[in-house]
Amino acid sequence: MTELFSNFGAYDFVIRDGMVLALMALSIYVVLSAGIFALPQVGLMAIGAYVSAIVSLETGAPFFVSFVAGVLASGVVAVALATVLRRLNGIYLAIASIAFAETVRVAVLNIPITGGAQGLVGIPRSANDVVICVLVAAAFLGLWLLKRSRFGLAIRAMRQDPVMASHQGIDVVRYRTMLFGLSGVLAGASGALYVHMSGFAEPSQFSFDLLTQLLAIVVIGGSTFVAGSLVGAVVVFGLPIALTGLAEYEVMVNGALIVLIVAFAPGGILGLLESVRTRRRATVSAATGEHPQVPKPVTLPRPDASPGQVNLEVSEIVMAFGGVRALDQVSVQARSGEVLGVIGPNGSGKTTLLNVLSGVYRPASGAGRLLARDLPPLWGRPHRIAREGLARTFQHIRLMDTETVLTNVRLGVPVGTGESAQDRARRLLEEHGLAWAGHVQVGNLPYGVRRRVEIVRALARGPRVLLLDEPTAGMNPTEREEVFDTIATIRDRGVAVIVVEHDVAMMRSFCDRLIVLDFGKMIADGDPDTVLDSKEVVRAYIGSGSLA
Amino acid sequence: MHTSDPVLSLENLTVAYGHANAITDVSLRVAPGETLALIGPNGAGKTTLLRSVMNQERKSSGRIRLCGRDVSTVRTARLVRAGIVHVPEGRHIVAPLTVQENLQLAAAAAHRCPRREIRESVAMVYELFSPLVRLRNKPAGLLSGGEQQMVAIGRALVARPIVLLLDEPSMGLAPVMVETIYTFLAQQRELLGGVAIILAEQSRIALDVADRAAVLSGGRVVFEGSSSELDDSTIAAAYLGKAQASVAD
Amino acid sequence: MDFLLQQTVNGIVLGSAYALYAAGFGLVMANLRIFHVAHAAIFTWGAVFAWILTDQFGWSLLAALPVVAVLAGLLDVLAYLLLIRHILGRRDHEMAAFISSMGGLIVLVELADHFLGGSVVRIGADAFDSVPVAIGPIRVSTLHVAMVGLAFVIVAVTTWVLARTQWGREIRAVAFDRETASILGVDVDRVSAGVFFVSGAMAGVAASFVAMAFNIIDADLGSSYLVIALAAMVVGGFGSIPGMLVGGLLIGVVSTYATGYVSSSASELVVFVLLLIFLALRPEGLFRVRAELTRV
Repeated sequence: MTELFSNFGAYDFVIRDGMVLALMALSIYVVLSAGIFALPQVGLMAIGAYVSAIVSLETGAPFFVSFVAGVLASGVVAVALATVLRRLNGIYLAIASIAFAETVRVAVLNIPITGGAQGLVGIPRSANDVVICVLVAAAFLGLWLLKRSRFGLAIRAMRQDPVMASHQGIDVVRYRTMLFGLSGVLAGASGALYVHMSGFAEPSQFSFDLLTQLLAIVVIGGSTFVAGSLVGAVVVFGLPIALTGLAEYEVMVNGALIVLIVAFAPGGILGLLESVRTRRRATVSAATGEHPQVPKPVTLPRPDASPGQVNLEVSEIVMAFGGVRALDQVSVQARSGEVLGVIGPNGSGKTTLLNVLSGVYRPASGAGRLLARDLPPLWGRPHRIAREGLARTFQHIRLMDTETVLTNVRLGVPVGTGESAQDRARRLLEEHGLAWAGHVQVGNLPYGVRRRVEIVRALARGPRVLLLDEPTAGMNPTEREEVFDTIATIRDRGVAVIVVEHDVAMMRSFCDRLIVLDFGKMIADGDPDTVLDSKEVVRAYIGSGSLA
Repeated sequence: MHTSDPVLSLENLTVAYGHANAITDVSLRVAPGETLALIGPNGAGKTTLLRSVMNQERKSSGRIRLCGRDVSTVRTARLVRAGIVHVPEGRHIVAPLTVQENLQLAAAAAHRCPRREIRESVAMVYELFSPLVRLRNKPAGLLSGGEQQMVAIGRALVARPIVLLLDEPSMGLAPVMVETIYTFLAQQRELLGGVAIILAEQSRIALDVADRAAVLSGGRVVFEGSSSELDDSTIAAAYLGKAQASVAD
Repeated sequence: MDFLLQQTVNGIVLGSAYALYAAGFGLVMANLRIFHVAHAAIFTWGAVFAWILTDQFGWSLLAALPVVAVLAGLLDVLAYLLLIRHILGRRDHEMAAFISSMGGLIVLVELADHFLGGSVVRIGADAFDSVPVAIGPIRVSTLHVAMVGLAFVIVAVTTWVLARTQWGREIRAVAFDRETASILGVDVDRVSAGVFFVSGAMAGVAASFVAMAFNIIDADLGSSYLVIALAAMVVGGFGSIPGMLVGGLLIGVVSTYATGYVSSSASELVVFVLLLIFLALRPEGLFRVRAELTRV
């Protein structure tokens, strides 16, 4: 009864191996799918394998206990490793983590308790086919559910754009550590399973070759799909069976397949299938759908300017890059119920200012306050500032192009609002006349609509301070007016709005107050008409010579 | 000067980003020795226009001709060797290399010429921009914005351009640095001879050194003519929206 | 004392082989910021080329060396064209290039395995007329002296080329930013292909000597040094060529000491413990490269 695969003749071992390695491939998937290029998994698998084997052999503990011991050990090591390597990224992280895996292998070779090169034998073969199936199925189901959860959404956001993700309140560093831990747990589980399936453990099993095989599985299947590991395992393990006549070329075929997949189908087999499917769907919607007319939001009258409390305040900010002072002693106050416009020539420091306010940069000096919070400790940690009630949009639209509008807005909804994220996102889209676009992929939308989606995502946080970086760039005059109407509505709800924009004419008529930056210095602050007529501003903008 | 054949001509150039056009049907030309000021507010498409000349943006339609020859599809590096040299917005100096290395690199990459000529070209830059002399062995990334701009322009000059494309050379520079750069631009004809220059600026300062001007707004040329013909109200309308604002009110 | 000296010399000999291997890696890394693992297979094929020329054609190792360098260089250029070039513009190019290069590694190793018929081959002792030399109490062979000398010369020449020549400036400019390099008239693609050629040639030279000195060639030759080369890179600092030399030598000496004073199996462990220490305390290595000088 526990031998499910014995009917498959000589292939039963292949099937078991394939299943355990599919589980192992998942541990690579969880980090790669978050855009983290870390490959310590073979080392973590070895830790799980040896710890569980030693627990079984030394204490005679039941399978369940030794399994959990192996999983925990490798999970803990993975978290420690994430901490040690927190400063590394890209290829450096890949190299360092591969080096870690090799260190584990070499350590195993040299420690007496692991049996050195001979390895350990006589491990109880308690992982029967049912156990394997249940564990592998549980892992796939768990990860599939995780991918559909908010955590999964956050991970996708991190992969596509860590800066954008951190502005949605996602603590990128903590998520990275957690993903390392999860990867360790999965690798440890497959290691523990493996030794209790085969009955032995030896260091040569955990070599670089295993990593290449696992990467082949993940990449061929599709590194952003949970099921990619399964599909990849079927291909990598099925190919030799299909190519029995060419047995000696099977490894080479795998290698060539990797090269071809990376070159022509970076999303793997599942990615290829998905793109065929969405292409078909896109042509259908293009044929049937014209976008319904956007209802024009009601323009509220301008309040007779009694600016409310100060929601955000920074003073004497200095931000330098190399020798260049991008911001020099800049002080800004944003009050609730007020639209504050920031203008200035190219390179005058407008975007730098927004990046300081939202926490991307750590200014060299200066002070600040967001509502009741002291800002300086939060600098360099945009996720904290986002959680304190600040939201922003970006000069270059930062949305997840391959996700739907609804999903993008959902990402902006903070945790614990009472309302379900889905409902809240839907309601916001309706309010802003975008309900029709809810299930459209962002990448298929016109530029102007994407800008508005980004604004709605920012509003989903229910911010007290909203920063908009060129919200009308690339729009026609009608669209611009609509966006500024929306901004007025937001202001009237008591949000402090800061807008950076090039269209000075628009800014003149819509902002309650303007500040002007030039060479990183603030050269004017006040009522738009007064500011724009001041000689200094005219000179900064148009150069020398009188224009008034 | 208007009568001489253009050295560089842009014919009906259109560049699209996704669904929107960044520049639409732009035709411009410059003659040898002529300076064309290309002014317009931020986001008008000046940078895109210059980048498309260098084949760094995909053109939806239109042609670029250098001395009559169609160079629309020639790769960037080859365009530089053919004589179109670009000083990009934000300068893009090679930060880890020293000032001297930046200049040497540019001189030799554009023309495989004897070492002596490279030395002479580089020496000429130090003569033009004397503040660079004491900075010659400093990594260029550590220079101030104005000093970097001198390196960027110097780097373009050692490539011995026929056409020079300058994208916002005054951007983010202190007034004294802007003055240095513009003093050079005012004198360049005596120093360089017949180089054709397209000088893209947000600021009207470009008009001071230009023979002709074109105003770009919303990706289209809204004015083209001699720089003296360009009156303040045209600029004001394109920039500060004064005309529009009064209509809207 | 004599024993210590002898061990140090042996370590330097071993380390210079590591350094040559790692320097080829490092050059590609410095230029393109990618991890070209197929370099390991280029190393293997370098040794195979050396074996063909010496054993099959009866050339001497020194005569074969330039030909091996050219062949391995061309093979690496081919790897660049088939595995790397089309990926460089992608947003996730670091990961994609590594995986693509790994696919290439698998194919090249398998091809070598088929070519050698799965067996181990050796370069005959007559290919290099190695003479033992005694300097005081230390005994080395002329082969070892040639190896160390070559490592120093190659690293010195590479460093000089990078720092002082037009080609070196072009390589550094391409490494900084491909688009900026192209607006200066640098033919970015040709510079990268050239880097792969030189890197492959270095692998070929290193492989010839390693194959001669350790007298063993099989399909996994390159892969077996891969991890040590990684260690040399981590210790020396990613992308710094003199760093590779120092890192390689340090690891060679440390592992020889461990072999001499503890046991041969301990040597690898010591190397990796060293590696972990560096990763934890100084992940940027001994020679910091481009830390502050990123784009403004």
